[in-house]
Formats: sequence, C-alpha cells, structure tokens
Amino acid sequence: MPSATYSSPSDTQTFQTSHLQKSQLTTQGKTSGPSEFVKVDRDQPSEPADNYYGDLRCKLTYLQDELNTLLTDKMQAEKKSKDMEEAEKKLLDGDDGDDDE
Amino acid sequence: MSDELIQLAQSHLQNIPLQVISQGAEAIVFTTKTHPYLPTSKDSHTEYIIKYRPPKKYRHPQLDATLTKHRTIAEARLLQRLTNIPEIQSPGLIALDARNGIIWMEKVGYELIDYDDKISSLKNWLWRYNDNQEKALTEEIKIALEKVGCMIGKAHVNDVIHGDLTSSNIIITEAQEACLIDFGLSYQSALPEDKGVDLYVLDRAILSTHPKYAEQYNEWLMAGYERGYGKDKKSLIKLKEVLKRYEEVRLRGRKRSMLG
Amino acid sequence: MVHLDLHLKEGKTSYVAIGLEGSANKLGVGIIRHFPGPFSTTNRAEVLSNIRDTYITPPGEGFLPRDTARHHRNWVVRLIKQSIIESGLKISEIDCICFTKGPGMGAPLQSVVIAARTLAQLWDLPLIGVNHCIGHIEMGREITGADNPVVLYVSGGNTQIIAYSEQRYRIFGETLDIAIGNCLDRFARTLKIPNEPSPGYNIEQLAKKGSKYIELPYTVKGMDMSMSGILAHIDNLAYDLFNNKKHNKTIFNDDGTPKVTVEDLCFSLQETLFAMLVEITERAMAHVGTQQVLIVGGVGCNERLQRMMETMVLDRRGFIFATDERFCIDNGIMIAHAGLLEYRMSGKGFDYSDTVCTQKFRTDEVLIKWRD
Repeated sequence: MPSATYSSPSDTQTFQTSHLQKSQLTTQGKTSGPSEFVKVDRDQPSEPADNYYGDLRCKLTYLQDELNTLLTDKMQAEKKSKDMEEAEKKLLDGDDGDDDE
Repeated sequence: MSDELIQLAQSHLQNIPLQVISQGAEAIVFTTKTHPYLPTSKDSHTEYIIKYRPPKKYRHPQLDATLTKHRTIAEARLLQRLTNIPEIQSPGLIALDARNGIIWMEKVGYELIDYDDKISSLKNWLWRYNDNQEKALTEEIKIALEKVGCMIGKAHVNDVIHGDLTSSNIIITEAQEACLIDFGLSYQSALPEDKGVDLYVLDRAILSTHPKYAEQYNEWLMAGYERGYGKDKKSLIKLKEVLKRYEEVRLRGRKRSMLG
Repeated sequence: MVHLDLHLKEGKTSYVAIGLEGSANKLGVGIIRHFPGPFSTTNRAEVLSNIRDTYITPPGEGFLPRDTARHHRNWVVRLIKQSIIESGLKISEIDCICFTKGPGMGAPLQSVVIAARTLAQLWDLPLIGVNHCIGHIEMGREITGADNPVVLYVSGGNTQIIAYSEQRYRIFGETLDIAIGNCLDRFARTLKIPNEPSPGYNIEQLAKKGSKYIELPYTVKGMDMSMSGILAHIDNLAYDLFNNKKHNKTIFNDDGTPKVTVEDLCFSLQETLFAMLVEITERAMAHVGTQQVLIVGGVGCNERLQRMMETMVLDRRGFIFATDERFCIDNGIMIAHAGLLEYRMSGKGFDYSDTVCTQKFRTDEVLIKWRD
C-alpha cells in the first residue's frame, strides 16, 4: 500500500492511503489543476483504468496532494515568520537605506 | 572565395594590382605594392593592405549600406586615433573610401615560414605548436601573451573597446611584439561593462580556438592585462571595477538559464 | 576512428532507443534504430516513430512552467503508447530509454524525467540523460549528412554558434542576454497575435507582408550578440503605433498618418536579428575554416533565415544544411538518437542517482565520446 513520509529535523509526518474509499479515488488532484491563465483546458488527466495501475495512480495523486498542501503551508508559515522578523528588525534598527552592499 | 567579389573590389580600385591574402567574414584583405597617392619606386618592397568590405547580399540593402559605411568610418577613425597612442600598436591609416567600404593601411605581421607561410596572427602563431605541449607552453609564448594582454589593457585605459578580440585579430610582429588589427566593431567607451564584455569575448575566443591550453593562455593574457593598467591608484581602481564586471559577465554566460 | 560497437549484445543486429523530450512547451516521443558500424550514406539511423504534442497558451501569454509540466504529465503516457504502436516494436526490442537532462524549464523537465524513470523500472531498461542541444546537433548531422559543420542553434531558449573540436561542441558565440526565439515570442505577445501554431511562425507570416525597413539597433559583439535592446526598441515603436503617438516621426508622417505597419515592424525585426545571426555564423566559418553550416532549433524553420543564410554560404562557396519542422522543432527522436550514441559507447545506462535533470546545462560540458 503506497504511503509518503516527510521528514525534516523538526518534523516528521506520514501519509497513508489505506483508509481511502473507492469513491475517493480520482486522478483529478486538488493541487495539480491548471493555473487561472488556462481558459480552455485540453490537458485533463485521463480517467483511471480499472486495474492495479489505475488504483496506484489515484493513490499517488492523493499523496501528492497531501504533500503539496503540507509544503505550501510550511512555506507560508516560514514566510510569515520571516516577514515578522524583518518588520521587527526595521522597527528596532530603523531603515538606514544602506541596502546596496 | 568568390571571384565576383574580387572583381567588384577591382572595379573600385582601377589600375591597382591586388593580391588576396584573406577573406574574413566581413572583409576581403588584399596586399599591394602601389601606394594610393605617393609615387612607387620600382625596387620598393613595401607592401600595403587594402581592406574591402563588400556588400552583403543576404542583408537588407539599407542595413547593409549603413553597416558598411559606419564600420569603415569607425575603423578608420580609430586607426587614426591609435596612431596618437604610442603604447598601442596598430596599422597606420593611409587612405579611406567609406562609401565603397575601402581602407588602405600599413601592413603588419610576417609570413610564418614554419607554418605554410601563413600570416603571423596570434591564432596561427599559437597553432603551430598545438600538438606539442612543451612548445605550446614556453616562456616565449608566455611573454608574447602577456604583451598582448598588456596592450589590450592599454587600449581599455584609453577607453578603446576592440569589440572583436579573437586570436585572428591580433598580430605578432617579427620583433615578437603584439599588434591589434580589425577594428570594425570597435568603439569608444569608458564603461566597465563594455570592457568586461570585451574581455569575455577574448576569453571565449581563446577557449574555443585553443581549447588545449586555454586556461594557461588566458591566465597569461590577464596577467598582462593587469600590467597594462600601470601602477597608479586611479588606474587600479578602474581595473578592479572592470575585473568585477568581467567576472559578472562570465557568470552570466555560464549561468544563463538558456530560457531567456 | 571511434569504434561504436564494442557493446553490441550477442544475437542483436541493431540498437533501439526511445527518447522523451519535454524541456519547454513541446512534449516529444521518438523511437530510433541504429545498425552497427559507422554512419554513412548507406547506413543511416532509422526513425521508427517521432510524435509530438505542444502546449499552447492563449494570445498575449507566455507558457507557465506549472501548466506546461501538467500538459506533459497528462499526455506523456498516451504519447508513449502511440509511439510504440507506430514503431511496430515489442518493448523487449528496446535497448535503452533516453530523456532530456537539460537545459530547459525545471518543472516540465522534471515531469518527463519521472516518466522516464518509471518506464525504466517497469521495463527494466537502462536510462540515459541527454543534453538537449547535443540532441539537436547530432540529429541535424544525421538527417542532413553534414559531417563537420558550424552549427547555428536557434530556438526559444537558445542562440548559440557552435563548432566541434577535441571531443566537445564548443560555443564560439552566443547571445549575451535573451534568446532569439524568446525575443520573437515576446514581440508576438506585444502585438497580441495568436500563439498557434507558434508565435514565431505568425511573426514570419506577417513579416512576409512587410516591406519598409525601419532601422533598429544592431548589436554584434565579436561572435556574440545582444537582443534585449532591440526588443525594447521595437516594443516602444509598436506601443507608439498602437497608441497613436504622432510625435514619433519614425512611424508617423507629418500629417499624422502612420508611415509603417505592424507587418513592417515584423519585417524589420526579422531582417535585423537574422542579419546578426548570419553575420556571426560567417565569422565562425571564417574563424574555424569550415565550409558547412547546419541550422538547428525551432527558429531554424524560418524560411527567411534559411534563405539569408544560404545567400551568405553560397557566396563563400559553402554548403548549407537545415531540417524541416519534424527535426528542427523540439522532438523526442533527437533525444533517442544522441542518447543511443552515448549508450553505444558505454554499453550501460546512467547510475540511478544521475538520472536527474538540470535547468542549466551547457553544450560544451558534454564529452562527445562518439567522435574523434
């Protein structure tokens, strides 16, 4: 049964697929759709075949979604804390305009 | 080589005996013993160079006329200017016919007797030893390349950008001195960026034309280049700025994403 | 003479490779067969299949890596299946799987590498990573029979003038900023003309109707060239033309009527850029001392460029070689061909850890083992 593990020094998370119901299996990922610039979408993924590979595709799509969501959240959190830090630094040190070097 | 182009040149140079010595990309180079306006003595061995930029049929006539005229005048003007800068060796200007793309100048260099009598461009001069590592990396070559580098440095100090620095466009004279030729893409500029690009063009030309020894050759050229700036403080600051730009241009080249 | 058959498997009489290309907006799959011995007029590589699908963007837009990668992901299996059927081969007849290692756009490259890796495991075949530019050069040489040409490589992402020396394809000149195809595409976006079949093709068609030459900057530096200034200049002209800026006397007559058309702008842009390309190619020919020119890459399909190059080459009594859009435009067959050459020299695939892609991968980094 496919699973995915994310690990970093501060965090480890594992995603399983064993709990997925047949109705939840799809090749249409939540995070792998087209961008807003695409007006006519001719690049849809094909429907899954009714066999092992079709099943695998759906489960990988699910795992990819989970990972993408996790990584996006992490990036946003990191950016937020960096922004805060910078704002704090600016407040304390002032802006001396010497950013060239 | 196209006879048609030679006939075209001859039509602009009536009664002048012409001997082709090379067809570069941009120009055909002839030698002649006839001086354009001075009387020629019968036993004179002095030869002159006639550089002829023929029209390029592939490009739009309007663009072609502009480029030919512009480059011929720019080159003549620069040759004239360079005669006033004693530390830069270049052929002296004799005559100019800008509309027809013709420049007369002094002949520099000599025939390499150990290399099929080819002209002593830096390219041929180095290629003689390409298959012999010992000869390719002697003190003699080091000194010559440092002199070449030094002269390019001097040109840059004088805000002269060569624009087409390849080993074909540098002549080694019989006295083993460096001499710059082919100023068709040259211009005046004080910008470190332009000097950096000029050095980058040379660096790449050496790398592609003399790949076996490129690293060493470039090192010697650059050592000479730095020497060309002399020792006073102002020049050294300028040198530092150019070298910084050169490094940036190189990085841009190597790291270019190739995606525009 | 390099020996190409040290690793021919017993009982086999030929080699077969499948190639996957997806470094930009085209996804290509190709299958090629080589027979033992050096290539010659009687021993040619055999193209068994060469198909492609292009990701097309709306007018006025460039292609986003994300959408391009998605296009490749969702079409690659269908394309591979169709390609195998076209070739009439069994999977067991394939020797190796070749993929584009770079240069190119990260996300699209990656989606194709993953497809290649997956196939390699499913079919238990070795993997070969190929430099995209080397693919173009080797396929161009094979198709045209050019033996040692100066290569002008012009595409959306590349503008290089290349010649072979001492087992590497050395870059003699290149763009110092943007690529020629990119320059044309971006001007097409300024003009808001359709991206189908390709922006460059549409510029070419407009240019055919133009006749008035407007002077643009001309920026050749040695064998290098620069195009961003030209693009900025012509973008401004187009802007002034569209917005009726009558004070601009380059494009408006004194009575306020326009002097030039959009077609004239396309014509002038092509004339200027191509003159620069032909000039640096001629410089490289003179410098290297060769009589052959090979044009590869998507912009190489442009008929005006081919004609200008031909005029120059014939004046030098040389020979010009170019391919049609099957091989000029990014394709899988060139990846299969160059990858198979590499495979024939080593007899094995890359270590699995090397089967990755890289956005930056210069032509002269590759050791050309299959040439003297």
